[in-house]
Amino acid sequence: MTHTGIVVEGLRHSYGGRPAVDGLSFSVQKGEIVGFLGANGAGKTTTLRTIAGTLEPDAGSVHVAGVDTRREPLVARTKTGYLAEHDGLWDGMTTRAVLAFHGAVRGLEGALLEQRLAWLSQRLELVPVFDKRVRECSLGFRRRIALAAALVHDPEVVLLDEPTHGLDPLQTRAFRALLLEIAPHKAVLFSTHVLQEVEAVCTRVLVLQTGRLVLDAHLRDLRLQAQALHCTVEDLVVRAAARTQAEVATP
Amino acid sequence: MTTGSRTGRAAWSRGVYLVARREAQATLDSNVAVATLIVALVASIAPFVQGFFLSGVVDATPFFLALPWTLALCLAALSMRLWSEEVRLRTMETWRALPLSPLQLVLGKWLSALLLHAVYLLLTTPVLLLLAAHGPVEWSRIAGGYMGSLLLGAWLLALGAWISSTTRDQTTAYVLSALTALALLALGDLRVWTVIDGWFPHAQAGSWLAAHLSPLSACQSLARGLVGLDAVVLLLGQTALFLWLNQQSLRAKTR
Repeated sequence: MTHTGIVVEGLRHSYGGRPAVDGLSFSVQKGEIVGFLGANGAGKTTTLRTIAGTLEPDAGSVHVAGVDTRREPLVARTKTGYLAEHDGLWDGMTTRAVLAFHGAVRGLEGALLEQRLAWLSQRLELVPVFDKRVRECSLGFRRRIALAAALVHDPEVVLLDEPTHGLDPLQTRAFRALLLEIAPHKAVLFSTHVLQEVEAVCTRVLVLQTGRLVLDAHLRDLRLQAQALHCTVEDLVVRAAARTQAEVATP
Repeated sequence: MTTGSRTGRAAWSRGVYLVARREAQATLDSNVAVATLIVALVASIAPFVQGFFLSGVVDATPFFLALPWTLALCLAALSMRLWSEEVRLRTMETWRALPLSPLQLVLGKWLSALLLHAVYLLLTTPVLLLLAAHGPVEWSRIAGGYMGSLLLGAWLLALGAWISSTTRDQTTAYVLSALTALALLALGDLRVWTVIDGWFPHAQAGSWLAAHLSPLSACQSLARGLVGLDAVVLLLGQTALFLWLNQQSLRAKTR
């Protein structure tokens, strides 16, 4: 497998017999930023968790940066940066300690680690809280600390679950700029409910409905289609998300 | 990105070390750990010192013989937070996303708690100075007692860590850990196993459980300076079993 991004094939996962993700297949190439859309409970978080390796799929395969997440889960995780839905930060640690720990676990040491911490603290504007405990930080700062922890080892694959949740408009704009800056060297998949965000940064969009992919399209194609149909990209995405499973099954 | 050059066993050990270090920092940050340390010291030293001044016998054995019961109650307070705290803080997913195996996580957390237990044992050494000031001390017995206490701590913390991984609530984890530890210890008490033997006179179930399941007799023989291989194997074997169960419990959470 020489693919440098994400390859998901036939992914299935169920909770107590209820399928959350059902036969999902897609790929994200290096250099792509792909928006992951869908209603609550559509299976976005489950999909991101199985790619990140925090959840074992019932069936199917996931490759990140050419590594099978089932066969070599630890290697796959060194190549992945994952921002979870809940920031998952240890309250008692300082920002510096959190980032140093995440870096050290991924093999970063000494000057290289310090260099990454300095870059991330500058880029994500974490300097004011760098030596503060996480519990003393606002929601916006916590989200950015978690994002820095996901990026500290400069991963090839970046998975972001609602990354701008809790950020103010300025912070959201800064986040988008960072994403565009790092994207040429990474495969980025992020879930969101905000279509404007997808339109602002994404090259492609995936729409999930009840665990199935109902739309996989390049944004430029969607824009052209919207122009032709005299509607908006949002209309097309909403229409796709509103399809029933029977419609999905019928070509 | 070029990262550290450690590979294989060195990288694996470093992973365990990093988890243990993070946990030790978190433990020191928690008031529960400091309070547990103080309570354990007072609960174990005060009755012994009182008994020593009443009897005047220079012997550390009573101190080590009472320790399993005190530690069963105190170390459960330390182990209860090891995993259930992560569930409360919603940080389990963070652990699972790191390139660390469940065994590395389990060992790291357990070792950090064991380190605190070792600190506790170190802080009980003034008891020895008190004894040495009043007469000749049998150092081999004391060495056996400390070895037994360290192994018992490892056993209790492994048991408590496993139970902590099965529940979301720290209080539940404490109660279950303390009760399970007390029950397993009690199985080795003469008064308990003779009663069980009385219930099943042909099977001798009580004596079998006391010899093969309860760590009490192993601790008692170590407290008397009798370092038997069977006692060490029993304590280490059960510790390994609880650590394995803890690892299995973590694996089950990703399904």
